[in-house]
Amino acid sequence: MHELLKKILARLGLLSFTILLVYGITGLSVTMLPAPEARPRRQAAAEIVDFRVPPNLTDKQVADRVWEALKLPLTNPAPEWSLRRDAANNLTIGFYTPNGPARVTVLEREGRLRLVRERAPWPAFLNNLHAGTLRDLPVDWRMRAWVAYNEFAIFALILMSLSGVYLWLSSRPRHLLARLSFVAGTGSFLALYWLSR
Amino acid sequence: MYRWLRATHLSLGAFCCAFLLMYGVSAFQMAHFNLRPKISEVTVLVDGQAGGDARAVARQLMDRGAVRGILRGVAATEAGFRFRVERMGLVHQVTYSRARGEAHIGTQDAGLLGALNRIHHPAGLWHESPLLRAWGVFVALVSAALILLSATGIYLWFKLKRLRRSGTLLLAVSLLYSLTLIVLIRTA
Repeated sequence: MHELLKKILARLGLLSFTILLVYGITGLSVTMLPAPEARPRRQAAAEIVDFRVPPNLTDKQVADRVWEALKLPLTNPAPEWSLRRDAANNLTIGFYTPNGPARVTVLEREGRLRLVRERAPWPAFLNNLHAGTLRDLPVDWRMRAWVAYNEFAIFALILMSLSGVYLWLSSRPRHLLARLSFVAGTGSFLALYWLSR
Repeated sequence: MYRWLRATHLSLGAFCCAFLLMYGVSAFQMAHFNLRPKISEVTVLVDGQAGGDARAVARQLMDRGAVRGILRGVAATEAGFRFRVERMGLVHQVTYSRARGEAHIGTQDAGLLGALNRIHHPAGLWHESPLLRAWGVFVALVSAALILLSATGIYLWFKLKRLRRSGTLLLAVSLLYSLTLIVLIRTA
């Protein structure tokens, strides 16, 4: 049992090596971020694209046509909640990608779209990558492949945590530093949990 | 070197295991199902002196044990005001009516999984709440430990001669797959 779990732990670790680094770097980089209101907003350049809105469509149907027309890489069709009307009553649509959001304003009377793409810096990009799951039902094959890897890593993380504890207790349960670390880590977690609840 | 790194790997893993389990379990929940919080409602009479101020009403409700947590989202309504009192996985939505002098408290409790879900998110050291800042400190510690665990894990695997050949293949496939995707997504 011990040897089998050791092999499983090693193989899971090797397979999820990159994504564990992504999780670690993401955690460190979000720690460094200032409060949301103090974060600098990047000025993104606007592009204008010709687009005629067909008559008798709902806003969601227009958003779907816009998505088909623009073919923005990595995006899914815009969900209902991302549709808004701006101060001039133009329909605005938000498309999400790990590289940063794209916002489209439908200038219906002019027969155009205004497209603004914000480029996420690397820490935000990695943060977005770490959050993707199969539940997002990504249309883009690269995103589907990535979220499948993320899904695997979630299971790997749980299995490695449990098997690691088993391997410790079945081989060197009296290891003093490990005992102290376990008490410090798990004790802190339980104390914070108790205070938070 | 090997013994020292093995002890480091073991101790880091022992320190982080509760946090890593929390991240794994809450990520599984977020990836696979929505939480259905338990909902309860109660109406509480509030002392008239407190009625002009949301903070005073919240304090009175806290002193009576009706709510507990951080006060958020204070907003005026036609009849008085409303606010939320939140803690991890639990939200009290309080609506106060000046005319009736009573507070209606709607509570949504998402239980253990709801709490783990909320604990997954507070990163950073900018939060006003000392408790959230404390969670933020542990996010940083566990993230650094995860990087070190990965690095020491690679070293320890490499020293296991019987797993070296198959492991090299797995690592190569994993790196090729993940790094290719990262580059393809970033440059899309």
